Amino acid sequence: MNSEAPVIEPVIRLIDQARVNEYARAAHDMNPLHLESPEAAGSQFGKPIAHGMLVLALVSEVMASGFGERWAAGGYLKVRWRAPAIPPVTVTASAELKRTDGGVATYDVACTADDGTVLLTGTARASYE
Amino acid sequence: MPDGDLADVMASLERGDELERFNVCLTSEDVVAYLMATGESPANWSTATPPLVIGALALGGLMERTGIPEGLLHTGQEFEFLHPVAHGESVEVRISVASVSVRRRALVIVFEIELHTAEQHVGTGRTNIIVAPAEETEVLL
Repeated sequence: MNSEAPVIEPVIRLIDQARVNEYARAAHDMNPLHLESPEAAGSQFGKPIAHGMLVLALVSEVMASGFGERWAAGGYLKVRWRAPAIPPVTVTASAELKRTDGGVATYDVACTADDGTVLLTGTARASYE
Repeated sequence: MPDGDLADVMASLERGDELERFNVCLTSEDVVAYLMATGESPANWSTATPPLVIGALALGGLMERTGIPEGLLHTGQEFEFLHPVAHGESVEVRISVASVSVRRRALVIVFEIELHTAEQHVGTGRTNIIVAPAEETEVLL
C-alpha cells in the first residue's frame, strides 16, 4: 500500500515499422493502413501509420509502472488521438499528477512525437491506497 | 449485421444496436508477444493480462464486425479496468451502439464495450469512431 500518489516517469519508445508489424500480429489488427501496403501508400499520409492502440499502450505502460497490477484493478483512462504516429517516430508517453482525492490519483496523460507533435492527450486515474 | 458495402454497414448502425458477442482469450505466450511488440516489460504481467490488450482485441473484433471503410478514424477511447484477467481466461466482449450522429458530413459513432469473464464484469469502454469522406479526414484529425 502506498500513502502517496506515485510520481510516474515517462516512457520513451521508438515506433518503427518493425514494431508496428509485430504489434499488428500480436493484437490481431492487420488493417492495411498500418502495414506497408497499397492502401497505406494511397492514403492521405502516403505511408503506414502506427495503430492508435499501440501509441495508447505506452500510456497504459506508464500507468502500470506507477501502479503495477492495480492498474488492471480499477484503472481508468480517457484519451483523444490528436495526430497519427508515422513510423519511424520516437514517442514520449507521460503522466503528470493532476490531483488526488480519496486515495485515487488523476493524471494528465499525453504522447508526443520527437518533432513535438502531440499524438494523444487525456486523463488517467488509479487507486494508490 | 447486414451484407453490403462496408461503409454502408457502418452507416446502417443505429443507437441501441448490439453486435454479436464474441470471446477473446490470451495465453501466456500471447501476452508475451503483445509485450514484446509494445516494448513493455513483462514484470507487472506475470499472471495478469495487460488490460489494454483485451481492449485492443475487443476493438479488433468490433472492426471485423463492422468493416473498416476508407476514411475511418478512431478518435477517442475510454476504458475502465475493473478486475484483472488471468492469462488464459476467456473474456466475453459485448458491444453496443451508444450513439450515431453526423458532424461536418462525417458519421460519428460511439460504441460501448463491456468485458465479462465467467466470474465477473472486468471492464468497460467507449470507443469514438468517425467515418469521414477521405478528402476530409485530415481536417478531422
